[in-house]
Order: sequence, then structure tokens, then C-alpha cells
Amino acid sequence: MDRRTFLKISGLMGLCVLGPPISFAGSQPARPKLFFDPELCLGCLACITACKRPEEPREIDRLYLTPKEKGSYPGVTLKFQLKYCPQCEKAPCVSACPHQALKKTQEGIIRLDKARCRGEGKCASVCPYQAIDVAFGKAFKCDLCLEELEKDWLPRCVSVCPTGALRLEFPGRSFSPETTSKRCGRAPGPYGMSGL
Amino acid sequence: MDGNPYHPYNRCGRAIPYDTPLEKSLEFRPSTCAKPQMDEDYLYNPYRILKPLKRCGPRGSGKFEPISWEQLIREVAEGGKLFAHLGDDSHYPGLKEFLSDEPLDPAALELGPKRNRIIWLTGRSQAGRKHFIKRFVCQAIGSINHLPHTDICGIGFRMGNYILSDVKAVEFKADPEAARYILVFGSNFFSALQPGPNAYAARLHQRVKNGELKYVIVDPRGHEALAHAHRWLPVCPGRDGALAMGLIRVLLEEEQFDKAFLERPNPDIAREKGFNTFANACHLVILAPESEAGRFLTTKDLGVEGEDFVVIEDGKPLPAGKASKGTLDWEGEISSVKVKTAFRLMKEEIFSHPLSFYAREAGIPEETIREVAREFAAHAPYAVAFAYHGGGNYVGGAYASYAIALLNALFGNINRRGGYLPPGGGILAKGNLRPQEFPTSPKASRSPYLQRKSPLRNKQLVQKPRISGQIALVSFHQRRAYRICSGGH
Repeated sequence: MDRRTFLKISGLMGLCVLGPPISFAGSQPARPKLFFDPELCLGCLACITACKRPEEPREIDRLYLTPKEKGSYPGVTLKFQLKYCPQCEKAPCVSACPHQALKKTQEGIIRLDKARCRGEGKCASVCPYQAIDVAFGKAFKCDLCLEELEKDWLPRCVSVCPTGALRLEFPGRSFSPETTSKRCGRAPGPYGMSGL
Repeated sequence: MDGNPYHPYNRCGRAIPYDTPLEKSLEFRPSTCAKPQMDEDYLYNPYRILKPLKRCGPRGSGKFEPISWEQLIREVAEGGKLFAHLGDDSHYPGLKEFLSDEPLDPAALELGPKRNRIIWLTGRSQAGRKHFIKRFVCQAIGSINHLPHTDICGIGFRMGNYILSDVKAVEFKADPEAARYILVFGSNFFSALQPGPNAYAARLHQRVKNGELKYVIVDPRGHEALAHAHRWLPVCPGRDGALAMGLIRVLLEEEQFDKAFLERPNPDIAREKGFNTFANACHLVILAPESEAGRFLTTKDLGVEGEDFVVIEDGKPLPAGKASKGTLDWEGEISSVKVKTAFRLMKEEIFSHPLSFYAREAGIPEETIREVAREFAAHAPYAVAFAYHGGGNYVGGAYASYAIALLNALFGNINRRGGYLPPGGGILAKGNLRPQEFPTSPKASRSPYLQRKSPLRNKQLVQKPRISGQIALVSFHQRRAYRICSGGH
């Protein structure tokens, strides 16, 4: 194998490794979803706690942060993994629901109709990301805080992230607090904070 | 729940200007840590206690019933047979029984009046609560026993810095903006450490990501900050000092320290070279005669005018203020007084144990200590070692913290950009706010209790004091007055 072929193959392998587990990067149309950068994560759990709602049981999780340990003591390294709903293009949860409780909005956000949900958990069993929680006879699923998005606010988890490790990708729309500041007219500053 | 965007903590030090309109401020993202995100849950928690609870079963039965605030205040203030309805006929004292100027113990007047039996233990009382509590405890009741947060928090590691800075500052941290190599002793700055993960850790690890900084975690526990750490040194609990001493030993062995900084004998020379600190490394310390041993030699001891420390320059003793460079590693005899430089003393102490001893004590292999010391030296003066609570809050912790702080002193990076920084002066130091002048601030002269005739002035009451000499003469009035004036800590 010559050098050029090796670089090509290793480049392709890099793409596969970097991409999400089920990804056809480039072939899919852009859709709103969360984006997580483990390199920026502190593991502070602000996103997870912000995701909790007072009207829901606190055992419910839509985001899961898991620290992955590698190696053995004392040479242990740690990496954070965040499991979240990527709002799949071809979402198996939507077709799995026998009561049509899960629906896709025009923008591509998968939304759960609580009134139709009977908590059978079929959606959760087919979800490749284990991002749906079923408890107390209901399913709980991330809809990117749709009620916040409608008011042009960022989802709760994104707006509280102190480092910008968690971002919202929503083509063609902007939200407050903004990722770029009109006031300063600059790109996001260091530390993932806006308007720096 | 969002942070306050006008506060630098929540914006990585880059707060929005105060004149930004409130509505506009919503455009900026102010982050917090995870704790306030649960405030809603805390507020609406069905188990939240909203009323005072009084025991309604035998002790330990875990049975309580809600009572009114009026009943609580009455019973706490007046006491009485509070559990008579449960068949308990004993008398429970109320606060009013302690509102007496009689001595608490006539045989031990230093304990003060009976009022001192009322003790108020409190946490981190912020935003005026402290002043209110102190007015109640110290002035209305007249007890000296207001024990706030700082009396029980962090004294160990802070005292190490207190020694280092010659009683000027207690808390130092690495410069998050410019340091390039940080040894973090006993602090999980990804989940705690003032000013919080959203301010300090967020800044540090962004620089780690950009390749501008490496940090080493020294902690028995492998915590979240390992995720981006350069190394983890799982030190034995309570042995941070041994590791710091081991690192210093390697630096001294390999002569990896800023000799020029340590040789500067006075602040003027240091300032000339662009430093705002200097060390007493070249000052002479008396070893013999024994009665004087341990203190610095002064010009007064040599019969010279003035009182200044003494250094050796070109083999001759000179007042530190007049010397331009002191010999660092020296011992000898001056006017029949045996002296050594402070640096020599430190070196002898460090070299009194081999590296293997420090390695064994700390539970870190010798080779790792060497590697870390070399990395530290390679990044100096942008290399910093700092401790927080875990690195010195144990028996002997002040010394451990002092040893850690000395790593910085060896490179003269104290109070410098990219170095070991004390807190900023803040508004209190700049004089915009004077807490002593707050209307609720307790003042000794206003204390009604101080103006009263005290039992201590009646000499007949003075019996055998348990503590002899001067201490017994310090009346509780003076002690209380001191506590009030000193602002609470």
C-alpha cells in the first residue's frame, strides 16, 4: 500500500470513528438536533438537572451522562459520554408506537403526545440510543424543549451548559441566549460563551 | 434557572457591562453549575419542611408534629415543661434563663457570663444574614459564641498560604488565563472550587483543549477532572505534603529553580527586576545561642542602627535593605552568633529524607515524582501548584499546604501573570463599600451590654482564675469587643 492510499483509508476510518454510531453524514438533510462535544464536557450535570421538570417524577432522564473509565489504576483515563435523542431522520420509535403518540414535526423534531401514550415502552425498546425513558405508565422523550423553541429560546440543557459542550443545531433559525451576539457581532468567543 | 450575566463568575470573567438594559441582558448566556437547576424541584418538593416540627413521641421514635411559629418562639424563648403531654416532667431551659450577667462559672471567669452558653452555629450566611445573626447573638443576647462558616472551614490549607505570604493572604490559585502547567492538590474543580466549575474549570479546560495548558490532579480520588487531566497522581490521603517535599527535593537536586529570584534580598531590588514579591531565602536565621534560635538575625543584633534583616553579599554581612544580592546557600558565624540562610535551612530539612521516603509516604513512584518535577520546572514560571480544601484540611495540613506553596516560591511566580495569584482586591478593598458602616453592622460601642455595669468590675466576684497571668485579665468584655470589631471570622 502506498502512502497516498494509506492516508485515504485512514482518513475515511477517522470519519467513521468521529461520526455518531448511526450516521450517514452528508447524505441526510440538515435537521434540528443536539450536538455534544465530549472534549468540552466538565461532567457538571447542569444539562441533566436542567432537563428535569417540577411537574414530572424526578427519576425521569432524557439525557444520560456516563463517565467511561479506561485503563487500570493508577493510569486511568476518563471520558464523558452523553446519551441523547438525535431526532433520527428515519426514527424507529415513531413507527413502533401502536397508538401514534410519537409524531414528527415539520422541522423534524419527534414529539410525544402524552395523551395518546400508554407507556407500553415499544418506542424505548427499538431506540438505538436508549434515549426514551418509560416510567409511571408514560414515556418521556426529548423534544428539544419544543415549548421553549417556539418562544425562540434555546432548549434548557443547551442554555445552561457552562462550556458550550452541548449545542443546538437548528438550520435557519436563531435562539436566545444566542450563540453569536448581535450586540458584539462576533463569532462565539472562547469557552463557548456568547458575545465574548 | 440562569446565572446573572452581570456577574463575572457566570460569564467566565467577562461580565456584560452594568449599563446593559435588563431586556438586552437576556441575549447573553450566563451559566451556572448544576445546583441551581434543581431549585424548582427543591421549591415544589412535597417533602419540603414548611412548618416547625416538634417531637410527639419518645426520643428516637422519629415522630414529629407541625407546630406554629408562635409556639416555637415561645417555647424556645421561655422554656418550661415542654413535653409534659408525653409524660416527660423534666424542665427544658429557654433562652431567657441565660440572659444573665452572672458568671457562667465563678471559678473560671474567662468563660464570661451565662449569656455565653447560647451558641449559634451557622453555615455560610451571606447577603446580610451574618449581620442580622450577629446583632441577635452578640448584641441582643450578648454571647460571644457566634460560630460562623469560616470557623470550621478550610483553616488548614489557608494557613499554609498565610505563612507563605507573611500573614497577608490566605487563598491563592493558579492563574486560569495564563498558567501553562498546574498541579491541583485536593480539589475537584470540575464540580466545586470557588469560583465554581462554570467560571474556573470552564476557562481552564478550554485552554487544555487548545493545547495551552496541562494540569495534573493530585487526589486520592479519581474524579471528573481526570477527563482532561495530563496526569493523575493518586496520593495517599493526608500525604500531599510528602509529595510536595519530594518534588522540591528533585528540583533542588537538579538545581531547577529560579536562583536569581531567591537571591533578591529586598522589595526594591525585586521591583527593579520587575517582580512585586521577594523571598526571605537569603536572610540569615540564628541557630545558636539556643535562646535566640529560630528567629531572623537583625542589624540590631550586630549593633548597627535600624532594624533590618541581614544577608551575606560577597562574603560580608549587609542589611537586607542595602544589599543588591544575597548569598543563597550559606552558613557561618557573625559576631559569635551561629547563622544559616533560610534557604540552607529549608534545603537541609528537605534533604533530611531521601526521595524514596517521600515516594513511600505519598504512595507515588519516585520516577513519577521526578518526571512531574521536571515538567513543572520546564513550564516555570508559568507552572503553578495550588491546594484547596482536600490538600490541607487535616492534622498538619497547614504544613502540607505550605510545602505546596513553596513549589511556587522556588520559581518566583507568586502574584505574577500565569502564576500563583491571591484574590483580587474586590470592591471592599477599593473602598466603595465599607461593611463597618452598614447600618446593621454591630459596633462594640453600641452594644447595650458593654455599657452595663459588669460583674467582673466587682472585684469580690473574682475568685481563683484557672488561667494565670495576662490571659485571665482579658475580660470577656474585651474579648467580645474584639470579636465584634474583627468582623466575624
